[in-house]
Amino acid sequence: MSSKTEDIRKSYLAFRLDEEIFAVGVAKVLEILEMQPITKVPKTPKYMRGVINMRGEVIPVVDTRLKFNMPMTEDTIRTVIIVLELQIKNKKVVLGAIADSVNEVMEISDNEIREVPDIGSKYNTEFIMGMVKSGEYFIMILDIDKVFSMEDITMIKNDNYDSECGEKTTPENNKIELEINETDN
Amino acid sequence: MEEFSQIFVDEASEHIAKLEEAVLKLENDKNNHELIDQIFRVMHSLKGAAGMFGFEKIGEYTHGLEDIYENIRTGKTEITEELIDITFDSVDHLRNLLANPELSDKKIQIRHYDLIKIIKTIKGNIGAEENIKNIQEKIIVKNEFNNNNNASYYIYFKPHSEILNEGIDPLLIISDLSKFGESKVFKNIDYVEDLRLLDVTKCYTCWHIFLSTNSSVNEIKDHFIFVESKSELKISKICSFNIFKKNGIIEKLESVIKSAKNKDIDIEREIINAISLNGKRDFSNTEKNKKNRENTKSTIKVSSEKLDELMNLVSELVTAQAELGVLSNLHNIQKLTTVAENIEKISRSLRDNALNICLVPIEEMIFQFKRLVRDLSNELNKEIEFQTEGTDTELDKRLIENLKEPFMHIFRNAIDHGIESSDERISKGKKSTGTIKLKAYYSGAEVHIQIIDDGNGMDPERIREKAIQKKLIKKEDELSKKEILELIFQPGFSTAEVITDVSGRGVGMDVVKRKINEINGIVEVESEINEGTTITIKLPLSLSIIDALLVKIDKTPFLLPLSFVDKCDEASTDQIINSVNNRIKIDDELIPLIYLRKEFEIDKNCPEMHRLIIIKYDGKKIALVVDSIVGEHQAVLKPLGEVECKKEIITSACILGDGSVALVMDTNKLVEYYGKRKEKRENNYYEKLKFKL
Repeated sequence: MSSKTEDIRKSYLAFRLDEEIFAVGVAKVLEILEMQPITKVPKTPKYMRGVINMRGEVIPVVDTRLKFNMPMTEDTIRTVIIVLELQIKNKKVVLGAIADSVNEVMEISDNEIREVPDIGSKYNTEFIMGMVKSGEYFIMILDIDKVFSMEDITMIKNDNYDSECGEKTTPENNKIELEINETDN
Repeated sequence: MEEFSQIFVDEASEHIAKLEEAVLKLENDKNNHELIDQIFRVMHSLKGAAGMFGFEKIGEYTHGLEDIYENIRTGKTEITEELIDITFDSVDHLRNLLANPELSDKKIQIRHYDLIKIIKTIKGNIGAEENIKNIQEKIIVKNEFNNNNNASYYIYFKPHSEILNEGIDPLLIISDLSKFGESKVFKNIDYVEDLRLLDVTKCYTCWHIFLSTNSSVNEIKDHFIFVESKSELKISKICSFNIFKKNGIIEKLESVIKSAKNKDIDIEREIINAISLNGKRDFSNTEKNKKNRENTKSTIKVSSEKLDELMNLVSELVTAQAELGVLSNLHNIQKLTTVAENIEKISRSLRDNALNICLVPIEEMIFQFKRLVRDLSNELNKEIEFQTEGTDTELDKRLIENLKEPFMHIFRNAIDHGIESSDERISKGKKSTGTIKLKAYYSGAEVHIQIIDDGNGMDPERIREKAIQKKLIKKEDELSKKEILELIFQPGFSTAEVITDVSGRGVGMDVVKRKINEINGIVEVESEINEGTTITIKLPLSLSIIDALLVKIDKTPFLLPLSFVDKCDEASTDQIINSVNNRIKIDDELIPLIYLRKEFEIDKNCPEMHRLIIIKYDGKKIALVVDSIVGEHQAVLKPLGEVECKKEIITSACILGDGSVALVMDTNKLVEYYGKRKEKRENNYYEKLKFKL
């Protein structure tokens, strides 16, 4: 409100995965839940932990570590489910993302956000809106809609993910189904 | 005002639907006066409502039609095919008008005036020839009048018999009366002589006119100034409001006029009586009967949103009740258990009741198909009779909405490809008129709807050839007749040699299958060459709550629809793992089994004994192997969210009493998927191949 364009401060939720800190705009976050029993759905990719009951609604939960191709760990008392409302292909999708812990809600102004250098980044820069330096850490701000877009795209640049995650045939089958739908139209 | 307009649109759609239904019936029963009355009434209320809410075009349009039916009602005109056709066209046009009341769409506008012209020519013999412009002007004039506080007058006009020789057209005088306000004219032809004695130069008719206007008696009298001297003319004020604005009065007045006939009854008094009685809700005999019938039914209209909300609340109650059940089991207090059991009983009947409310007879959608059959058979020059059976079978309203499109496809196919032309039928020794029958009935927890035609049926050989040609199957594949027929549900399959307007683009049947599957239904097809085709659609009764069996595999709870479960049994792990050819002997019967642990890739905590759930699939028994059985459960189905999985097998989720989520399995899909897995893989292969080509 105070200045016109340069100093718009937005709120971000910072969370930790392994040794890295990520952030998402709070507008996308519906709530943060404690870890709870998750019902595993058979025949889903490994990063799909299953479904939970959020006050009467059934929502899917994604193991963000696996989705980001990080090593899997046991859940701890600090493990949380961040419930996100995403916009995927013009559809509102509510899903839970597991994070090792939530750190804080921080205000970041747009001009603090730096572009991600394309070279030397471990992550597919398409999913990262920018980076912010906070103390000694770099916080990566995620374009969360893109991260969880339904197609099987990994965060990691090289595409060795199919063989590790879930059922090998799933992406292939999905593709066939998509093609069928297109011909119908 | 917006809100009111919406009410009008809703109401009008209903009226139009009723109109369509009545005209369909009328077509086969042209002398049914009740139907004509019904059509007239519908149009009348439509006109009235349209005027009230400012849908002038609709009012103007229905006015013309109403006049025609008025003539039929009074016996002036006969019902002709042409009239039926124009009425059908009008039904369509009224729907367009409703969506586009101001005629902003050029096409609709042109159609509008075309149709009005046709209607004018049909009713041409009454009243003077007016062009469309005139009508419009009149409508405007009328509306102005309607805005004021009108009084209503009764006019009795009996011109002297020589009036025609004086070059005066009494019809002109009467039709010009409408410049005063809304009017209704009833003719009296009781004085007309026997046709043999009739002098064509003389006028025998007299008229009873009801006029609502804000003009005075003298002004009306002035209108008749040229004929007044020699004619019988009575003008009297009957009430000080607009009788056209009150439902039912006109109909009543008409019966008064009719009953008066030639008798020397004081018509004026009768009319005034009738009007004052109207206020006391007294109706003439016929009207009374109808009213009574309606009263015994005693229905109220509820918006479907409210019903959805009710269903949601019931769902929540059922979930909460399950929670209570878990608690009472945990604490084992006698009184608590009693209460919990009571609440379970009540919530179960509440659930059944609420579900029942959401059910509507399939009759609601059938008249659309009647219309489709009629239009298409005319277009294709085929004689087709449409029969229905079990139209009072009820289905969830949402299911019915989802059924319309697939049914349209099926009907189009049946009419276009199924039923042969009359000549062809005769040469085959069949009745020249083909039949299409829609048959609905309950079957357990399902509703089955069949569409049966007695056309030329499907030739399995031709389907096979076509499928090979389209690379859906291999030449050396051995397929049963049933399997071959199922091929018509494959995407891109069409055997029609000529692509017609009606069907044959090859996107029909696969869409049907997909749509039906979306609402958890199954489509089956049977066909005999030259005898016809039967398409059976099997649907669940409800979409939202089902009775299910709760089972567990490791820690994951699963629900199986109880309607498919035949019985339960048990077997040791050894028996299952070492089963020959995946079959197990139960009650001296070898039953194929599906070991869900293996299929779902769950390998933790394997128990020594397994439970078998024997389900029915297509008349056959199949055993599903699970770890344990928890018990019966009322499952409130929840969408699974955007979970990437074999959605076909796990169709939805359900929240259990302890707050955890159970997965609802579709046993049909499960069996189809795992039982025919081998085939499916091959099919996938061919599908892929096809898309590459």
